[in-house]
Amino acid sequence: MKQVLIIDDAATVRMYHRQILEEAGFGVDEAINGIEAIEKILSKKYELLVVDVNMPKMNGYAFLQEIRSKAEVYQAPAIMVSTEAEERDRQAALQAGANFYLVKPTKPGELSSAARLLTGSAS
Amino acid sequence: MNPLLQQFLSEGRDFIEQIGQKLLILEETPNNEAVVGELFRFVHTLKGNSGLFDLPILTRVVHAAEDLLDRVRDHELTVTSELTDDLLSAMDFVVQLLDEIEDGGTIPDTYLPDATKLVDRLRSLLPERDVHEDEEGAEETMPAPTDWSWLSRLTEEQRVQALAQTPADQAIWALFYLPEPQCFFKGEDPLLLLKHVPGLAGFSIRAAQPWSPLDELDIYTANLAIDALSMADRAELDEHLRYVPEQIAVYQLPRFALAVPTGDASEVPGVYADFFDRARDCLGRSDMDGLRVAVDAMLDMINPTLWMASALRWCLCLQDMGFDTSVLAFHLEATADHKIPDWFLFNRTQSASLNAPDKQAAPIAVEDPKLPAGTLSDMELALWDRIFETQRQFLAIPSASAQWGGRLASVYNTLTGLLRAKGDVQALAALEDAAETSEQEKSFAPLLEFLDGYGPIAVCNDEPLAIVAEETVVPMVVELAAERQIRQDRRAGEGAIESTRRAAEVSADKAVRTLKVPQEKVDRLMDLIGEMVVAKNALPYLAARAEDVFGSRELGREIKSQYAIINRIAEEMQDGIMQVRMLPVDAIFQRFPRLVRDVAKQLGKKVRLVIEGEDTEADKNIIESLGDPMIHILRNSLDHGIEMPEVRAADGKAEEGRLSVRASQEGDRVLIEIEDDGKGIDPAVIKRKAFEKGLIDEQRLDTISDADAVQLVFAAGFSTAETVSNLSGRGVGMDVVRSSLEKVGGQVRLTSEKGKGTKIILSLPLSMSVSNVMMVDIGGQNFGVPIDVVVETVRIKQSDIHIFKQRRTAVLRGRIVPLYSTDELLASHNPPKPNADGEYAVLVARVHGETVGIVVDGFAQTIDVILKPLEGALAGLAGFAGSALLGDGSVLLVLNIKELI
Repeated sequence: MKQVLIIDDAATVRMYHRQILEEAGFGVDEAINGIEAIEKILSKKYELLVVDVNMPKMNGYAFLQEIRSKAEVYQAPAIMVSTEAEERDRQAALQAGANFYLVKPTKPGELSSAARLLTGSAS
Repeated sequence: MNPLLQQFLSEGRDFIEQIGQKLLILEETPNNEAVVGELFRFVHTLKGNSGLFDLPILTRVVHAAEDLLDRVRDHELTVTSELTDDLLSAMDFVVQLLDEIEDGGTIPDTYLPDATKLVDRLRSLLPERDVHEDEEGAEETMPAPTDWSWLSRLTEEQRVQALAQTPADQAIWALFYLPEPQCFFKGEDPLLLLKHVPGLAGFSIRAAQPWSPLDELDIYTANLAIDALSMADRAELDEHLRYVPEQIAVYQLPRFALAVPTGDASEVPGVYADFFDRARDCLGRSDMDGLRVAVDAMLDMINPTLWMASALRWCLCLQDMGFDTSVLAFHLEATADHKIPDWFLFNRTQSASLNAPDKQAAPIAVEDPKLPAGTLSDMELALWDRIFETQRQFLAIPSASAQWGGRLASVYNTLTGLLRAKGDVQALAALEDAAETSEQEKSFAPLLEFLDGYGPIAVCNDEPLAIVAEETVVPMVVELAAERQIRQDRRAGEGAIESTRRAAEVSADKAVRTLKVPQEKVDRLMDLIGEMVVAKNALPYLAARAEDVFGSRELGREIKSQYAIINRIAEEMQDGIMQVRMLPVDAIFQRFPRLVRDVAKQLGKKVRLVIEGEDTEADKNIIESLGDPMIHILRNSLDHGIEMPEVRAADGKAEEGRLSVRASQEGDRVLIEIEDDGKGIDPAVIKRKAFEKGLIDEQRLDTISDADAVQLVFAAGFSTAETVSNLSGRGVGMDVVRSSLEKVGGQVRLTSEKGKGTKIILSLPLSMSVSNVMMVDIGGQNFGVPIDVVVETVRIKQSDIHIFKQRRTAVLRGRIVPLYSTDELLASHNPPKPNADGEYAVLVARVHGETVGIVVDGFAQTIDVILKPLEGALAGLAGFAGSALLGDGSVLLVLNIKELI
């Protein structure tokens, strides 16, 4: 089963994304901020990261930059999710190291399909 | 309830709690950037969460608050106490909405006008710049009501006409108009306004609130709720409604939502079975003419006033209007079930299915990598293109060199996923080459070249081709991927392994986390351990029986030794469970800053609240019982204690009053001190008032000490306020505070120094689960008396009892003690009997600071019991504190002496 890490400070959103991704056949872990996420990534391989922007301690941008500069970890595709629908927010996500951007609330079909497309590779 | 919604509610409440606290901090220190950031994040997250559900009213209010805080964050708006007020009341409103959702699963439309008002208010605080833009945003998220039953109150003709007259690309508007109750006095005429609504296709009027009884009915107050349908242009509609925008909400209605069958619902079930089979068959074959013929034939046969006839006419109408088969099928199935079609549900599922992954069409193997994905649905293809295109943009963004390698690898991994998902395994080799070259040349150019060169190849719909591709290419890809992984691992080196291990250790340490357990589960444990304690108490009886009745001393001893073990375990268990129920007093205290702030503001006073010891713990029930009394005490201090700033200044005190709340633990009790530096209590005033109200007699008036006099504020029927203010003088005084604390075994004391301030000390047990009671014999039956009221037990000779002021009294240790006999307290007909020496058993108790004697028949031992409040029909018996089960299975009633006297 392919593993996805959901990084979001809102428990409700984590639960929502977990439901969608588990339904789509993924194994799901959660982290509540960038720092916790990095800890998890260092100890387990994830094939996809679903990253919120606004989080305490370490936000999504800082987290992605941190991860993208760590040569030792698997550089999983990352979807950044945010309530902002503007182009500059999307650009900021790519700038930080996200490979795709989805606007919250994510549509179940969109998130599960994107997750499957992004992880279509064999591990 | 849906667990996600439950999660949302509980997280939402946490957020609002936090938001409230942060707002208060911000009011004090408006430039605290860190707090602004946190505050914004909480509100933002709350909004994001609410967006997951169909809760437009809530989302809108939170969104408005978020917009304001966004401006605060951007330094375009400073936090004033007015802004704080508005944001706090918005959060209060949100709490109301959360309560509604918790109770009913949804937010009733009746909240709409208030929400609109609140949002308008919040938006009016926004600096000019973006008001217009934001208004447009608000219009998009205009919440839709959930109750559409009014549509069926419009006639079928009205609705058919409305549908027929509206071109498919034009909207139908639903108006929800709630005229202000006082609108008649403002020259508004709701009916006239309504009748002139452009494009009006029909309306329905109902009472906004249930009508009050006829003799109380105020005919000048509008109690109308109006639903109306309009086909006009939106701009025209807004123009017409411009004077009452806050009273009207406008929604766009899906056109097919008008198809609501009405009429006589009496049917013989099953009669139409053949018809529906035929109709389904026609729909399945898209044979529209066939369907029409079938419906027409059916309509000819049945009475046109029937509900079914109406439904069939709608079927024809929908067909005429050119709706597709999914709409017709939905309508037909609802009709077959004799149900009104839930068009709003249909509308939601329609839009959802556009986004939902089509499981049939998307056989992307998640589990088995050898299965090449072939066909993607249209939706997925579109998404594929978007992701693909995003990688090109991603590579075009200049990036820091530290992240360069990671970014390249992430694009490589992403593209690998995309290609595999599409089943285009041939391209993987080219991708691998491009990535390799990119890495060697330290440039994204080769990878970009690959992206540019990657034509939009046809998706392999051709099955044989896909199979060939799988057989020939997949093994190579796996090899390549494996090789790449090895290379990555090698590059990572030893350091990575070390850090991995460290991370694993850290996360193992953190594995012990807080558990969130529903309260009922803990309560159930508490109940069970209570039963366990009682059950275990049966063992000593059993031991005694083994000895006395069955004559086996040895067995009796064994039972006793086993009892000692069980007893110890049960006590530890009880202790452990009680620990779980312990909450910090902060659960109550955290409400105070807001309360003190609001009340002080309302009174025009300046007050600084200091809270100490908020982490002191006590049983949940004790904590909860503290809330109302403490609020009452704080209000009293603010209202009557702390003076107006001018008065304080004149008295040489700081203008800002100080109110401190301190909690601490002392032995098995929690002490809470509430102290103000206000004007204090004048004992002379208290004495006079108490005397005027007949609470003390003349003799006592002369002898009572000042310290005792101030305690009189706790007497029932005492209120020192000269005028009744809306804050503390609500007809309930400190006596209510005292009695509600006493209910949980608490005590309250007051000390005050005139001109300096007042201190109130509450003392509460840490836990209320185990009570120590003394058993007394009254008329041959055992009753319990809580040990904390018992002062002593004495025997008094009949001759030492005197009648004084129509009451039997006795002199005990130099004091006159009034005696009450149990037959008068319990209205029994068995007056207590003296013993052989002519002595009465008297239980001396301290009640309301007075010493009284209760004459009983005899005393028994004291025991620990689990006191349970009386329930059901007995709950009203204030004379009993509750009941307890004894070890022999009998029930002990525990007296509430305070209430009895």
